[in-house]
Parts: sequence; structure tokens; C-alpha cells
Amino acid sequence: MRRVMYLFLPNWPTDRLRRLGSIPSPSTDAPADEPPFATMIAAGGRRLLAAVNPAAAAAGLAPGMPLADALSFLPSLATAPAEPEADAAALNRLAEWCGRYSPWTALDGADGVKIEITGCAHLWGGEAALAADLARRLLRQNMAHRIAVAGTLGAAWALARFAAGADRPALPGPGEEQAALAALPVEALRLDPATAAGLRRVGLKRIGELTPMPRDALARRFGTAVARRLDQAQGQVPEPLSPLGEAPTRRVRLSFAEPIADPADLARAIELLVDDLAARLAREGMGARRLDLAFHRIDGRVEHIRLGTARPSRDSKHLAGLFAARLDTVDPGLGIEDVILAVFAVDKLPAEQIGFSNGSEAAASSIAPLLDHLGARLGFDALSRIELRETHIPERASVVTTIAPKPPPQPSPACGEGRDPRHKRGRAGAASKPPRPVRLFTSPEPIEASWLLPDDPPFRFTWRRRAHRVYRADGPERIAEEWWLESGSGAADAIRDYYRVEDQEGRRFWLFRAGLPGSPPPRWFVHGLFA
Amino acid sequence: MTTHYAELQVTSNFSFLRGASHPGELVRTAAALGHQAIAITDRNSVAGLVRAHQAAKSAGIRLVIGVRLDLDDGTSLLAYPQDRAAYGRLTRLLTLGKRRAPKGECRLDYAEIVAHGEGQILVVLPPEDGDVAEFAARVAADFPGRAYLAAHHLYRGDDRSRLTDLARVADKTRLPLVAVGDVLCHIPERRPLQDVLTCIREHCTITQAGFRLAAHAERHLKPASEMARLFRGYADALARSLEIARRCHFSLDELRYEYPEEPVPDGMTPQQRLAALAWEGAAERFSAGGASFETIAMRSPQDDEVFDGIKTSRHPEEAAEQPSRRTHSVDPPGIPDRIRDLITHELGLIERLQYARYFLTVHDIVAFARSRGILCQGRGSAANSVVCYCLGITAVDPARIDVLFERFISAARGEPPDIDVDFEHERREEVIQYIYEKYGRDRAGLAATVICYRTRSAIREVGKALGLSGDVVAALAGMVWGWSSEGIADQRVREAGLDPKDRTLRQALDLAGELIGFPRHLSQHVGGFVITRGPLSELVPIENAAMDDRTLIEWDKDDLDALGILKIDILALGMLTCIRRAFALIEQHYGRAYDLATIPAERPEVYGMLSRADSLGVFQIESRAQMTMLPRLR
Repeated sequence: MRRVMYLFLPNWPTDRLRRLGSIPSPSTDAPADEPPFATMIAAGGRRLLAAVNPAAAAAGLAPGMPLADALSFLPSLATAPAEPEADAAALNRLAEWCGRYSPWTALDGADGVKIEITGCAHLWGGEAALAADLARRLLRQNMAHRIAVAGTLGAAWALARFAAGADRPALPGPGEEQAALAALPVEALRLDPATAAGLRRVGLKRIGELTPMPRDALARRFGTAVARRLDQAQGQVPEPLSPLGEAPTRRVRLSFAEPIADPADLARAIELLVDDLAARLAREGMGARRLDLAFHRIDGRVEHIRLGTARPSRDSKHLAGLFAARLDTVDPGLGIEDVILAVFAVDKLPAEQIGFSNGSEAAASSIAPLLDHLGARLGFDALSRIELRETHIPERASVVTTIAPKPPPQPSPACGEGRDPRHKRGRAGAASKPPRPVRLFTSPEPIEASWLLPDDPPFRFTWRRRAHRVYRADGPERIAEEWWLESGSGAADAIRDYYRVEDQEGRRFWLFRAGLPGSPPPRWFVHGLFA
Repeated sequence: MTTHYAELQVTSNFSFLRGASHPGELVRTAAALGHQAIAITDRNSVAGLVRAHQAAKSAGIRLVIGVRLDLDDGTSLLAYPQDRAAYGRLTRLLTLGKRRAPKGECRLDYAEIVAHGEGQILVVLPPEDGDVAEFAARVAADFPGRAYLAAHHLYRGDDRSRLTDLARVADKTRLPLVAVGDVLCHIPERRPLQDVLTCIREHCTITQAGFRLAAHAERHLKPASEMARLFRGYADALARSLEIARRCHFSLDELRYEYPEEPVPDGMTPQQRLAALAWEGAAERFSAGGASFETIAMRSPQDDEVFDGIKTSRHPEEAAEQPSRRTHSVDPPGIPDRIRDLITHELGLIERLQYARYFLTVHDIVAFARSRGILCQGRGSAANSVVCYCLGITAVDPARIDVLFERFISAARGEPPDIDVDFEHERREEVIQYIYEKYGRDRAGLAATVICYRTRSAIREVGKALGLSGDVVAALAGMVWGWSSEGIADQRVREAGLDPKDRTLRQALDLAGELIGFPRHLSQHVGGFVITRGPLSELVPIENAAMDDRTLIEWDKDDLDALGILKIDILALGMLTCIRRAFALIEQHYGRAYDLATIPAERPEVYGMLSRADSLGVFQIESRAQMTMLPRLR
């Protein structure tokens, strides 16, 4: 039988602010003693109260009241701007925290949390004990709350908001639920105010008065919402509860008659699941990017392995290997009865032509499994790669970036000095560049050199206290600084002339001269070595 | 030994968003560097040549006329016409390429170059990468003795081996090597602007541009000694630049404008025909007095026969005095002496300067408009001419104002007359299409207007290229009033809430200042028509305008003035449409027909109205400033 617990937080915004210390409070932090306080929102040039604390409510203030009116009632009212986003975020955290009672929790509106506790209550010694535990913990944080447990979300919602008391959760026993509901006002049916007011106008004030009404007459008069809500509350129409967090796009599940715990069995289970998923992804032409493997233990706890891939993948061997590598983090406890593999993100991965040779076309994709393995082991943040950048300055032409699972950067259109597209020749920017050394020094090393003015290659140079005589040379290749950078000097002659030179022993160097002859005199550097 | 050199590959900023210097800057710099000659070779365009030509004349350097031809297959050539005929073939080739391509583009293939290649000197441009041998061999076979192979020094590290390779190709194909600079700007300091232009062209920011930017600033004009150093061992390649300059002796000065032939009755010279028409007109305008507005209104050429009857009485002694007016042109009686003298004076000057054909052309267009009932009205200095009045081109009675013909045409100034004619704006297109139909698209074309970067567009484009955010660019563009020739004052930048000391901002402002005045694209002139006797496409390339059924030439009105080419402004004036409707209403309600020349003048009611500054809705004088001035002018 389905059981739903509903937690209603009547003073959520002010309770939250109190925890942050935003409410001026004398000495005690008991909410009853604190001064009146309200949050406010600006609406069309007026400022309205958005939420009030119990003290303010006791003085007759209510949300929606203009601030000016409120201050005339209660000049001592303290206010703060309302922060709906922060309220929602904090409520979301509370809903996550409620995961301690059940994995299926979700926030409801701006002031409620719904928790599906089907099959969970016995772990806490029954529903009353569970509700009491929740209440005690909230009370410790001075959170006003109303708790109800019922067989449907609609009923739990109604009972929490209209029947439960501050320290008296509404826990109708089996069979008492209909009676408990019948006494509640029609507003408890989650209707919009206009519909509820309409019902009241024709004298239908309590849910019990609605129950015997013919459904089609209700639908004609008030729309289908009334009948639907009534049926939902009474459990005649199912109402799924969507859990917190995103829903997986694809799920495969394996259940065992007997719980398993042996790692070899688990590994086998993973293989079966991954094969199943891979076959499905192959049919769809997709590859998985983010996966979650959940091991449901017989004690109700769930162990997760979460994975991301560098490129979309549906290679069952690869994926199974990634999971298997992390299997040691899973504690099977007394045994696992269900394994669920869920995919949260996919990308297009068209069918690939398998090459006849095991040649270069495989090379591009072969790095991805390696990255996945390393990333699964070390985390993608720990990995980096060297990326090419389009710049003429040699030391800036590569940059180390982290490997996040992201699409590779689009190569920019390569065109020499920018011809029309129709004039484009097969010229890849980097391919046509003059040769670059196999080893590039991070910082160029100064040398002494002798050369003929103005821009001949040196005929002799001294590097690391060794003299080299130049036998062959090529150059100069002139590279000017990137004038738009902050580091640029702005001078028109901030240039380097690069030379490839070979010394008497056949060693090849990449030298450059910074600046042109003149003052200050140019300086020479070694920037790299050729093989 | 002093070396001599002529720079033959220069891209000016008329290769839009490629060159980073004005043609004038390039030419003057080349002259200062002591080059023997300079060629401006823009991409498939001669739009910058006239400016270069003028600058070359004042700087005392010879301009070699040339163009860079970018072909559809990706190869490029430089072409230099040797004489006037070859130049005509070149512009015809460009017209062919441009007329079939969308505006601003040119489609050419190699076979067409060969077909129009007579008299051209060609220089094969080797691609930056790849093999030029095959193409060079083809050009060598098609242009024996008239083709060269270009050699660049690119500062790419492998220049020596490149030159060796090129020399080998040159040997094999027997194309002589010629040293060229592939110049993009006149001084190296233009490199930042050059990079920004690249970014604007490629729609990217400077940090994204990568290898699309030049690695260095070496593509500027260099002195001959520096070129000799870069091409040491290739002295003959350097010398060949002079050889090409010598062989291409064509100059834009040789372009002779010829007025279109207007149909003239047998046995008459254009001057006689003009005189006849002028005296006829004078007879109608003056001798008829105020007798018949009705007959003069909506006069059309067909009416001429009707009016022939009027000018039967002739003055033999007048004819004897003026031998040129032998047959038809005898001034009828009744013309005031002052007018008679003026007409005689003007006709004499027109004959001396040989402008008769031009007047006949304008007269023909105006007569066409009249025959269609399209109101038209000469404006500007033409109102100073009695002949224009007599021909019906203008409608201001010279008897009522002081005319100064020399304001219009002067022998001393040597400028062609400029007759601007306003037409009803709704029906001007009829006149334009009449001109296209009568003279053909190969003889008539609209003058271009060179659209240049203005303050706002310059700062916007430069800001985008430097990666400034949209709001900063908008703030800078909003300060256009703070700009002066020295750029923008720091104070103004601070007022916009920006830091004038910020480096990128400073660069953006400086570069925008340099970019202002750069041509951006060609647009059509509001109505300046060039009509020629021979094919217009042999004078200047014709390209498609953005508008359907319009073609424009590559030169703007200043270029045309500089070359002494006549244009007729066919302008549109909404007020004329308005007046025509007013005439129609007057005829409908009062039964009186007027035209522009017969509106009763000097009406006190009008002056009274103007003195009260009650001129709201009155063309030309309805602005607030004009209205406050009027009562004071009383």
C-alpha cells in the first residue's frame, strides 16, 4: 500500500531568515518571543508583505498586505526583502535532507516537501515514530511544521495543511482517512482560489459534501479539476510523485530472486545491464554521456556508481570496464536485490563504418576510452591536455586545458590572408607554417651571437658557455608581437627574427633575434632545438 | 650604384577591408621613397585609380595602371594595360565579370582573361603555398613576351629557398621573374589597422583571428635599396619592375570623354541644332509674352512642328552676323535685347568649349519627361543660363533675375557644366529607364558613391573587432559629437563612464580615428548619370547595383570631375510631384492650366504670407530657423 508523508512549512521564509540570524532577536531564539518581522516584495511600485513571522501574524499582519498599512498597525515591524530564489534553494536542500527517510522526496510549491515513504516506515518503527523523528529534528531548528501521512499525496497535502497541528501530526489510521478528509474545507483539495470560492458560493464547504455529488455535474459546473483532485485525494486516480533530481532518459533493471553480494556476481550483473543498454542505444543511434548504476540493498539503502564519458559511447565492454573499476566502492551489505542502470545524458553517436585496416581512422577515437578510464579513476579535473591555439607567437601556440567532458573545439576556418571562400585552397593554417622545433623552451635562453647587419643569420653564437659555429642557416622568419595584448610594448619594431641554424656538429637550433639593429641593441636567444 | 625600383603590387583600401592605406598615401609615400613608378592593383577593381592618378600627378610620380585579377579557380594575376585600347579591354573584362556576379563581386575565368588579354602585361602571382609551375606555363604559352612571374619576400624563414624555386620555375617556363612587394599599407605602423580590417572582414575578434592575421608588419612600401637587399642575387628581377613600368605607358589622362551623339537633322552640326532650339525656345518664352499659358504648358517635342509657324519671320542681317546660325536659327522678334545678348554670348561660349552635345542630351531627357507629363526642373547653377531656360531645362525667367552665366560655365575654369535636373520622385524611374533604353546599358550608367566609414560605424566595427562589449561600443558610438580631427577628448570618454587610460579603449579610439574615411563599399549615386558615345564599359567597369535594373560604374562624382567626364544628375524631388498634383487641382477647380514657367510671379499675397512667416508646409522655407528669418528679410 502506498504511503505518502507531507511536510508543510507554514513560516518557511521567516524561519529560514531566523536561522541566518537576519531577524533581530533579543536573547532567546524561541520564535514565540521574537519581535514582529516580515519580508516584503515590490509589486507595481507598492511594497507588499510576502511572509510574516508568528509574532507579526498575531498582530494581524498577513502576506499581501501593503507595507504602509502594516507599519501603521505595527510601527515596530522589522522587515527584510523577500528572496524567493534563496527560499526555494533552501527548501530544495531540505527536501534532499529528507532523503534520509526515503529516496523519493521532492519539494512541493514554495512551502512543502512530499516524501514517498512506502515501505520505509518500518525502518523507523512505524509511521508515528518516523513523523516524530522528523518533527523533533525540525523543532530543534525552530522550524514551524505540519506533518501528515496518508495513502495519497492529495490526502497527505490536505491533512498537513488543514488538519495537522504544530506538535500533532495527522496520522489517520487505515480506514480513517476518508472521514478525516471529509471534515476538511474544499480548499484542501488543491484547487485554485476561484474554483474554491465558486464551490463555497453554492454551499459546498467541506470535502465530505462533495463526495456524493455526481462527478459529471461537478465537471460541468466547475471544470474537471474538482473531480480530478477529489479522486486523487481519495486514491481513485493515481498521482505519480516525481522525485527530486532529474529523471533518467533510459533505464535498465535487473532483479534477483536471491540477494547477491559476491563481486563476481555483481560484475556479471553489470555486464548484462550494459549489454542491454548498449543494444538499446545502438538501435537509437545514441551514445551515453552520463550514467548512474544503483545497487539497491535489501536493507533499503542504495549504493551508486556515477560515471561520465569523454565522448558518447555505447561500447559495452568499455562501459562495463568503467563500472567494474569502481565496483570496490560499493558496499553490498547483506545483499543486493536490484541493480538499476540509468542514463541521464546521451549524445548522437551514429553508426560507424568499421575500417578494413586498423589504421589512423581509429586513432581519433582511441584516446577517448583512455580518457574515460583515467577520468573515472582520477576525476576529469585531474586531467589536462595540450591544445593548439592559433597565434604566430610560438610560446603561445599551445595551451594546457583541463579535460572536461565537452565537445572538442571547432577548428576555425583556415584561410591564408583571407581569400573568399571560393578561393580557399587546401591550406590548413598550421600545416603551411614554417617548421617548428621538436623541443621548444618555455622561456628562451639568451645567447651571444655575431651576425651581419641588418638581418643575416648569426655565423657564430655562444650558448651555455659553448661556442657554436653556424654552418647552415635559414631565415629570417619575422614575427611581430601581438599588439592588442596588455603585454605588448606598442612599438612597431617589437619583432623577432627566427632562424634555423645548424652548427659544426650538425645540431640544429632555433634562434631568434629580438628587435632590429639600432638602440637598444637587439638581443639573441635560443628558443628551441630541432631533432 | 643606385638602385631603382617600381612597386607594382599594391593593394589600397579600395580593395575593401584588405588594404590599410588610401591610394593617395601609398602614392605619396612611394614618391617620397624615390620609386620610379607605382601601380595600384586592387582586387578586380579600378575604383581607387582616379584618386591615385591625381595624387601621382601632384606628387610627381608615374602611376602604372593595373588591377589584380582574382579568378574563380583561386589563381591570381596582375594585369597592366599597355595602352588605351588594352585598358578598354580590361574594363570590359571586369564589367563582364561583375555584371554576372552579385553586387561587389566579380566572376572571371582564365579563358576570358586570354580573350581580353591583348595588350596587357600579366604577372602571375604564386600562391603562398602550392605549386605555381603549371599555371605559369599556361600563362607563358598564352601571353608570349608579355607575362612575368612575381617574386615576393615574405619573411617566412624560407624566402631564399622560395626564391630559388621560383627562379627555377621562371627558367623552365621562360617567364621572367619580377620582384614585387605585395604591399598592403604605406607604413609599417598601419599593421594594427590592417589586423582590425581583417577581423572586420572575417567577422571575428582580434583574439579569435589567429592565423588569419599577418605575422608581421612587413607588407609596407620599402625603399629601393631595401628591396635590392631582400632580392640580392636577383637584380634582374628588380630591374624588371622598371621594365614593366616602361612598357605600360597608359595613363588615365588619355581617357577622352566623348559626348553621346544626339540625333541631329541632316546637314546640321550639334551647335547649329542647339542654337536653333535655343532661339525657338526664346521665341516661345519671350516673344509670346503672357499671351498663352495654355499653349506653352506641357509642351512636347511634337509641338515643335506646331510652333514652326511662329518663327517664319527672320532677320537676314542677324543671320549674316552669326554665320553659324545659317538656316533655322534666327532670333524671332520680341525678345528683349538683354536676353538676345545673353543668348548670343552663351551660345558663343558653348561653341568654343564644345558643350553643344551635352546640352542636347539634357534637352532630350527633359523633352522626354515633358512628353510624358513628368514635371522637371533644372536646379543649381544651370538657372544662371538663359539657354537652359530657353531649352526648357530651367523655369526661372532670366528676365526677372540677374543671371551670371560664368557661374555656370566658364572658359577659365575648364570644368564641364553641371546640370542637375529634378524630376517628380514617383516617376523618376521612368526617366532613368528611358536613358538606359536610349543609350543602352553599355553606354549609360549611374555614378557610384563611395560609402566611407563614419565616426559611428568606425568605432562600432573597431570596438567589435577588439572584443569590447556591446555596451561599451554603444557608449563610444554615442559620443560621436565629441570627435574632432584629433580624435576624442579624454574628458568625453570619462563623461561616458569609461576610463580613457584603458589600453584597449585607447587603441579602439585611435584605430577608429584612422578608419574614419576608409571606403567601405560602393553605392549608387542619387542620380548622377554618365552617358558616353562609345561603350561606357571601355571607360570604367560597370557593376550591378543592389537595386534591380540598375547598374553603376566604379567611379564617384569626384573621380568623374577629375577626369572631365560629364554626368547629368537625374534627381528625384517629392515636391515636384506635389506641384503637379496642385496644377491638376487648379485645372480641375479653376480651369486654369499652369506649368512651372508660367506660374504668375511676384504675387503680393505670397510675399505677405512669407513676411508673416506663415510658411509651414512650404518647401525649402518651412524649417523653424527659416521661419524666424523670414520676417526679418521683409
